[in-house]
Amino acid sequence: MSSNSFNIEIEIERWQKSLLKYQSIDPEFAEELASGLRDRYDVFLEEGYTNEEAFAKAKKKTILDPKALDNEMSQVKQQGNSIFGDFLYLFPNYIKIGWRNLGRKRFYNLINLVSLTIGLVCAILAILYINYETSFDNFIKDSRQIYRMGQTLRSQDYSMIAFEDYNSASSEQQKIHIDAIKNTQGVIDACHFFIFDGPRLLRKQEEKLPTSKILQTNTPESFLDIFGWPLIEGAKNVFIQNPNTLLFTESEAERFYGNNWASQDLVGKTIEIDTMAYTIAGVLKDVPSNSHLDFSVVIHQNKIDYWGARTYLKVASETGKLSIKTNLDKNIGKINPRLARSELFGGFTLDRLDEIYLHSNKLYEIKPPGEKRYLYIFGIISSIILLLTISNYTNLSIAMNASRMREIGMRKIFGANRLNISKQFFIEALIISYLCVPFILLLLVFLIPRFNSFMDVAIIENFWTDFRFWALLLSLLIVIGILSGLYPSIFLSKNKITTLFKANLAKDSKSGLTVRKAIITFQFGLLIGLCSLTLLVNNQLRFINNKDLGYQKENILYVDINSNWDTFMAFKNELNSVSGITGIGSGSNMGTLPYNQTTYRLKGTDQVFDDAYNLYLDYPSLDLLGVQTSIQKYLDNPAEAPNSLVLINETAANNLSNNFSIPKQDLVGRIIIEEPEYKDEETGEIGFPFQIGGFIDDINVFSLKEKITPMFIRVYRESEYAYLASIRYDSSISNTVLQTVENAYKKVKPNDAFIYSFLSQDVNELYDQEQKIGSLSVYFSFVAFLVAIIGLIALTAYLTTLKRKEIGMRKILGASSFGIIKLFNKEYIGLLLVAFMISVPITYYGVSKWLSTFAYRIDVNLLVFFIAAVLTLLISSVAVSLVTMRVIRSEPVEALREDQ
Amino acid sequence: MATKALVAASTKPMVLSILAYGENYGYNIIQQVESMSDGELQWTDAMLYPVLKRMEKEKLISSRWVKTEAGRKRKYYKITETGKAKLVEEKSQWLNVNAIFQSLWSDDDEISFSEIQTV
Repeated sequence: MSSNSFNIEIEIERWQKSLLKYQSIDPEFAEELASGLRDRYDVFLEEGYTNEEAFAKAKKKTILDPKALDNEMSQVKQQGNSIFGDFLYLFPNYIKIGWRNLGRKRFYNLINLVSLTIGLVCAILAILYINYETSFDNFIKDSRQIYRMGQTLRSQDYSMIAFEDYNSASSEQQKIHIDAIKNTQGVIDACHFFIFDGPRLLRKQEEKLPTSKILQTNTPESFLDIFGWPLIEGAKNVFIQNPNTLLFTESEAERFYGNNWASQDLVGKTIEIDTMAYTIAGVLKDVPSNSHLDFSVVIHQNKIDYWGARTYLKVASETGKLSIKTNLDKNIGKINPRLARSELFGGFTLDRLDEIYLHSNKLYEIKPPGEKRYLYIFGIISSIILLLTISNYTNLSIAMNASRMREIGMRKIFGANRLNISKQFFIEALIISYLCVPFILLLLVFLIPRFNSFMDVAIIENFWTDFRFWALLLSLLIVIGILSGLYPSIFLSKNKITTLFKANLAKDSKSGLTVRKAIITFQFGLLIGLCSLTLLVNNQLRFINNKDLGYQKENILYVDINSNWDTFMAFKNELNSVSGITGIGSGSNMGTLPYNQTTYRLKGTDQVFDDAYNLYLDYPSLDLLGVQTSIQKYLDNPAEAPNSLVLINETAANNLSNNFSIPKQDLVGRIIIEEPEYKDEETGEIGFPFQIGGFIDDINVFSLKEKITPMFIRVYRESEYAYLASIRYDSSISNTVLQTVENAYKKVKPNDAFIYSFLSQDVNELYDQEQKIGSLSVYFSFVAFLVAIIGLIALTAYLTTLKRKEIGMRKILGASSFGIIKLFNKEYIGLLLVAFMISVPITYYGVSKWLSTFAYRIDVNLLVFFIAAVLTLLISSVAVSLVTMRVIRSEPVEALREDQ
Repeated sequence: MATKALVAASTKPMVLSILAYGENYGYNIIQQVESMSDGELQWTDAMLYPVLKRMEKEKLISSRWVKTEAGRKRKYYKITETGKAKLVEEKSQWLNVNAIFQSLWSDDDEISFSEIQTV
């Protein structure tokens, strides 16, 4: 009979086990159900059923549908667990276990700590920087209702508007101009001003101080009201009502009167600028560095001494930008009748105040505009580093915690559910991320001032006083903690109790290995991408630095001479006798920002072009730049040169030659009419005609981001006025040239500030942002490599420790050290190949987009990607090999004797 | 047979009442209910155990494992002080309901019935 072989205990045990596959039926509950089953079984036996029948009936009676019971029980378990559940109760336990685990694997956790700290510092720096760059002018009240007015002329957009009669516009004309803007429908208030960049000498009794960034306005009330500049000392009304008064900014007052300026009763004192006297009316707070405006002194004057002004207006809150622009355009006849008549005028432009810095790039901006693209680059690179640190953490903790399977098994037996296990891992990740806090703070205190001066920004240095910083840091830590704890907690908590005791998952589990490999592949991909990006960005920068600009940029000094021709000649004579100075000239400077273009047509044709730049150079200054020109004979023999002539550049010559099918050499002698839209009322002459006197090669006057357009270079013997003197010198006097030139300058212009620049520096400054991003990408790549390699070393170190027995066996069986190292490295080569395939197209796309912003650029050489991949492979395999060597060197017997 | 709603509403007070007489275990509670209701109330394990667990969470009852003389392990449930207070509350509610039904359904109490009609 089958009854004989029926063993109720075995059957019940089997039944109990079958219940355990349901998540919410734990061993204890199964035991309880089994005790009920036994009672029923006994009853059925007494009723005369056979063992099998009694068991079958009892089973049915006890639980008909285990799935439904499971559902019901899981609801019970979740009840009251809503947010915290038993979390608060178990929290101290989580911390205790977490802390013990940190202590147990000190080396690996230290690595996690270091890499998380680095990642977080990079992320925080990036966030602070991006936050700074996007906060421009936000501090001004109603910044969304304030607009800067500009104009479109020819095909260029200007950040300023010219006056009716340019420089000669009277104060009345200027007033009519701004009042017409103020009276435009939708405009509440408007002001205009100009900021003089170059230094002027301010005189306080006997003392003279060169002062840059002087702002002149004849709408003082609107200027103070629209921007709301706070006055620390003095009365607003005194300034508004009295022309020839001025306001210092706080730091300028300090520069003039020392730290105790506030106790010196500045209001009412007199300051002289050039020959004019001004009364101090008050002191303003400094303009924050995250403003596109920058000034040190504000002067109230009836007339602005410039050809145009910067115009800002405030509009009613409900008025849209488009309707204001339409109204202003309609009102052009009153604002500026000359512009209204001009066929070159293309309407006014409006830039909202808080968008100027990042979204506007017009002619004559006050500060170089910010580059959104670089914010993205910075954000991406630091996210990469952060991702690397998170994946490091994930990887290491999967590997380390794989040996904690027994612990998890025990927890599950004692009733922990999956959520409890996950919480343990989250808590451990959070402990590590919070342990980083002091290190993060120390690093930031060290780095922020350096970062500020390097990037020329002003991220607040005592950041810890800002509660938003803490909110950012703490929430970042929670996010990082959760992200890094996510995978370990899901992966390690999902296993069923029955599988937990079977093996060490670090060695056996297929899924663990796959995810680990995926993460390493991901890291390799990031490294190859970042490395090739860095190489390519720096290649382009080197290309820019080394590209032949068409002129000599080394050993040329520019001096702001700003004088009549006689003074310039006197200055020149002072320097002529100095040995080592090889040329002195006057004229336009190279290495500058684009300025206004001009319209022109070839006489005898109808087509008008609007894309030419005018350049002015005297013969010596053309000569000292070493530009290739068709009039070299005049440069060699100045006595034979005509008083003046006009050269056109290669691009202009080609354009004209192609458009009108005239052989290039036949262009010499032809007439070009500049500004053909202008007609002299008296003579009836159209535009400003000139004869083409020769050619020069194309030269890059502006940055290499700008394509070379046609240029007309007026070369002359002498002029009425000299703005800029250019001095070429021999390298042998590099150290003394500045002093020599300054002495000469002081002799001819004793009362003026000596303003100078070196051409090579001017050219470099055009790529200021690119240089910064270039160096920054090198630093960040280095950090990224460091983090990734640290992670790889730790991971390999841990895995090789687990494989000590395997290594021992291999050695005993005769494997060579090299063979074992090769084996360990082999695993990574496949991963690297996959990473290469993924990261190359993405990086290629990104770099090509960046390069397309340069008119002159390198080709993306695919070799760079290979170099990046080889570099990544080399660095990682050195790391892996070194770590493996450490284990290989130990005695194989020791490894085998160990009870793992 | 009692309706599902009635079973759901009465299980908790019934368990508390049974446990008020002393410690008891799941199978026995089911048997007692069945016999006291003359087979009218047939509780199942799948219904009772989730209720017991829930009540344990609410600290109305507590449990412990006991090994019987026969060597069997049983989990015994015991009413707690909170459970006793809850029982008093439940009891008064059920008695109230009971009193209403009694007065509504008793034949010699016409006055109260007409009172209801006039309201």
